[in-house]
Amino acid sequence: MSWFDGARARLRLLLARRAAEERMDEEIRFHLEMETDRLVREEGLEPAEARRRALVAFGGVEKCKEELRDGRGLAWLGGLSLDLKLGFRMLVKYPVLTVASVLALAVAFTLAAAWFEFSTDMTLPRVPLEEGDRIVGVRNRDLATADRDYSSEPRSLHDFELWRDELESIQDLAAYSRIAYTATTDDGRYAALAGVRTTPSLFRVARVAPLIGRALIDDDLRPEAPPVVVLGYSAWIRLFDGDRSALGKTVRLGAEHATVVGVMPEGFAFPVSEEFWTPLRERAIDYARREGPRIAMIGRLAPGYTLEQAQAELTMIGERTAAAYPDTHEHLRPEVRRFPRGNEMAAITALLNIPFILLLVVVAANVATLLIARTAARESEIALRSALGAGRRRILLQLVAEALVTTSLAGALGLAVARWGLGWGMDLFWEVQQSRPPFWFDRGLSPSTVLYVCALAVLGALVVGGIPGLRATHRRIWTRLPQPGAVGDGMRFGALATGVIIAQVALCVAFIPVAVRAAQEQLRDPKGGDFPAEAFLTGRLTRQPPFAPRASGGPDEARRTAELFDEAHRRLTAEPGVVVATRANRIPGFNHPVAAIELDGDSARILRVRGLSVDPNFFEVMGARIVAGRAFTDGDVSASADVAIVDEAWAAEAFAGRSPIGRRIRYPTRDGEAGSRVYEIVGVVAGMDRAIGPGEKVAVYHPLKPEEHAGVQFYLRTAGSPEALVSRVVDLAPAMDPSLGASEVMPLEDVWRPVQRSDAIFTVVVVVVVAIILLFALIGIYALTSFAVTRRTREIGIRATLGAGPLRILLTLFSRVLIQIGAGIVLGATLVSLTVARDPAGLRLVGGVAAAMLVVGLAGCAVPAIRALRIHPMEALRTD
Amino acid sequence: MNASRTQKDALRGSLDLLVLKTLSLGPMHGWGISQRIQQISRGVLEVNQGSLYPALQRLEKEGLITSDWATTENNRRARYYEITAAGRRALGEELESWRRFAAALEAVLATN
Repeated sequence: MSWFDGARARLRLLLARRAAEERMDEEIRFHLEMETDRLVREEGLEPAEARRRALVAFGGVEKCKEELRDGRGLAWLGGLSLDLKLGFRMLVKYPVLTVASVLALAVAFTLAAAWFEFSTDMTLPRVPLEEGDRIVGVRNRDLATADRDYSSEPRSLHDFELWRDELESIQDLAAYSRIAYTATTDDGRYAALAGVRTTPSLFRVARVAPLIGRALIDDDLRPEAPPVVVLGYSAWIRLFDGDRSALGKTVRLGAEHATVVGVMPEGFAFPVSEEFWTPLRERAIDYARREGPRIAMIGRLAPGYTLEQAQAELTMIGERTAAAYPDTHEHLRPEVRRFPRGNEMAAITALLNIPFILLLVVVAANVATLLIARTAARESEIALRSALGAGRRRILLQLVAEALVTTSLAGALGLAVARWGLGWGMDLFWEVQQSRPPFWFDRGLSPSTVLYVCALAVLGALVVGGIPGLRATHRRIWTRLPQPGAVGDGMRFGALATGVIIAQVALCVAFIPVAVRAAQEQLRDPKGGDFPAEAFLTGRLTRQPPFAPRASGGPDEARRTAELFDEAHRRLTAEPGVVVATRANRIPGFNHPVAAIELDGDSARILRVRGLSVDPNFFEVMGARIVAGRAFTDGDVSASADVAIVDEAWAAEAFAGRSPIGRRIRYPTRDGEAGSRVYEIVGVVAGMDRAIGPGEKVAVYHPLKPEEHAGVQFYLRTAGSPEALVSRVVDLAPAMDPSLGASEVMPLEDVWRPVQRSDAIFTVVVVVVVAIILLFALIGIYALTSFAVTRRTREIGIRATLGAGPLRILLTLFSRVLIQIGAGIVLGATLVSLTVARDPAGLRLVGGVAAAMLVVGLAGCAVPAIRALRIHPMEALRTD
Repeated sequence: MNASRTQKDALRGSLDLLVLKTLSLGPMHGWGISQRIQQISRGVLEVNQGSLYPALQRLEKEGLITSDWATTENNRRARYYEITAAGRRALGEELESWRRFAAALEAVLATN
């Protein structure tokens, strides 16, 4: 019989265990009856005597049954169910220990499950569309610039049309271009939306029918066709409350009034996280090669074709194009890849699961040490089992099975919390990123995450049950059989318990004050707390389609853009309800990249800072003040000299307290000295942190020169509610020029709110986790000290009999605990001395945690000691 | 040396062989196998009945025999065992091996 057949037979026997038992019983019963009948018939015995002789001849019915059960190969599973029942009873018998252990483990399980789910969604995305694994992305890669600048993919409108017509291995090739608008309806409702301008084939790639109306069709691409839009479900709810009569109504998108022709089902946001779809009308014929709108391409592998075949075909076409147009295509290489690409840091992201597994092991080891005390109390039971024939492995299996009940409960709790927290945690994460999650992101827990947690529960059980089990079974445990006067070297764990107490106290004293201080600072000083963010309206001005900047756009184009931005700014400032207006190149501190700068030409001293370009009145409008030097002037905007103003706090650190006025900073570029710009520091500003709110700090400011930026961020201080101005602001830009658009127009507090909320939630989570860790540590210390003293009940009885006073006995017991906890406090305080313990508040926190540890430790001694002193000395002497 | 104990020790090691040989004569239930072995050996070989069933289970797992429920002549339900083709092959190999061993033993014992 092959191993497979054997395994199958075993599995069948496992699943049909009851049937196997019944078969065995019936077979043996038949045998005994036949033998009894034979003895009655052939030897004339009485039935009772015949039955007895039959049993003797059989030679041990129970032994035979055990052999048959062992022979099934899965007999241990029968014992497992009993062990699990015992495990449940243990949980009920020690409720405080159970709650502490389960909570501590659940924290570790929650973190492990949440990270695993998140990282799996990021690194192994699975598109929930029909044959989603055949959807591919296509792009041109410019080998000449690929290593230096990932963002500048070549504009490929010409290539798209060529590939769309010629490729056989990829069907329904679609092109799309990302765009953002603040969409407004005729009745004044608005919503900041992000979507795509796309060819209609995108919907054929997705293969999802609209909820109502229709998707885009080829006719929508005709230049004379009326502008149309297909809305996403959430956009439909926000703009029209989910009213089906939205079909046929118009929505203002930039310069166009588009008619709603369809609404897609809930959850559809193909290709990534789109909220609307409009036709991409640009044609290659209207542009030179490598000019036109910036597009991405997506399609489906045709039936029967593989990814490799598609790449081969694309490469062939690419080589032909490069030969025909060397000026533009010599360095271009077309690529086709699975969509979505997944995180290219997959290996590192997977490795980051390891710290969470280690955290679980550490917590489980902590729980195990706690359970050593409980296991030591069961020495007699374990010794008896061993004497009855249970091997060490069997006893360990019992303890691990009992631990499995604890870890399974913790795992289930961890999964539930992760499921609940992950959903809205992810929403918050994307809100803080000012983005939306890709539509393939699953808010629930995948089966692989559940299996992962199950595996971790088994690992945890091995640690939680194995450590105490190994300690309980490694000595001559039969000396601990329950008999009077038994003298044995019972389960010792004095050194281990001392080590655990010292380590737990040290870790609590070292880390809890740090976490609490961070939370306190967060709550006490919410960033931007008194800044009137609710009175500001902000948004972004950009040149929008049908305007498509030429890649080689020259100074005329830049000047025209700057003129439009300036004119829009003048009109916004003059709007009724606007008190004052100012601009920057972006929202400071949100998704704000850092740049490297040199100080005073010292290339050895490179600092990484966030920089911001601002109007001359920006600091005044935002309530900041110039504390040294001067502010920007209109002359700085037009002058050729480059100037900078630096943040006061940053300057104090960067220039070691000396004045930065007149000093120079430089942004080194990859090209070296040539082309880099040097800025002279002309002023120092203070108070910008308040205006930046929960965003990251900005260190360096420059005058805003609109011709240098693709868009500008405007800030309008309003007299009344900023929402009232949204529609007017959104309409103003395209009314000036069809290519000008205002997007993401919203009150500033709406920009800040997600980050402030995530900070507050982070604080609450830290406090809850710290509370659980502290509770667990306190229970652990109490249990260990209490158990150690209980074991000395006999000794206490002898001392009391010999005349030692109660106070003296208590002091002797306290001294040991004081030494243990004191050592932990000293170790922990040393670890934390470099951080929070520097100031009085920090010292108070450290003192508070240390005092809590001390009180609990002494209580752990005192309670059982006083109990021992109260019982009669003769009874204490009889204690085992 | 107690003759009965010597026989039982020797019998335990060759129990599988005896079971296969017995079943090669026809299907039989467990009790019947033990009786048949005793009958054929004219009472010399007495199978320890308690060790018969683990041996049957082992042979069934190895695929040398199969089993199924059936009704006896007395209209009682019993589990009948039957040798398989693989069992017959294994029986032939074991018999050959046993005969070689017995011949060698006989040759040694016959020398003066």
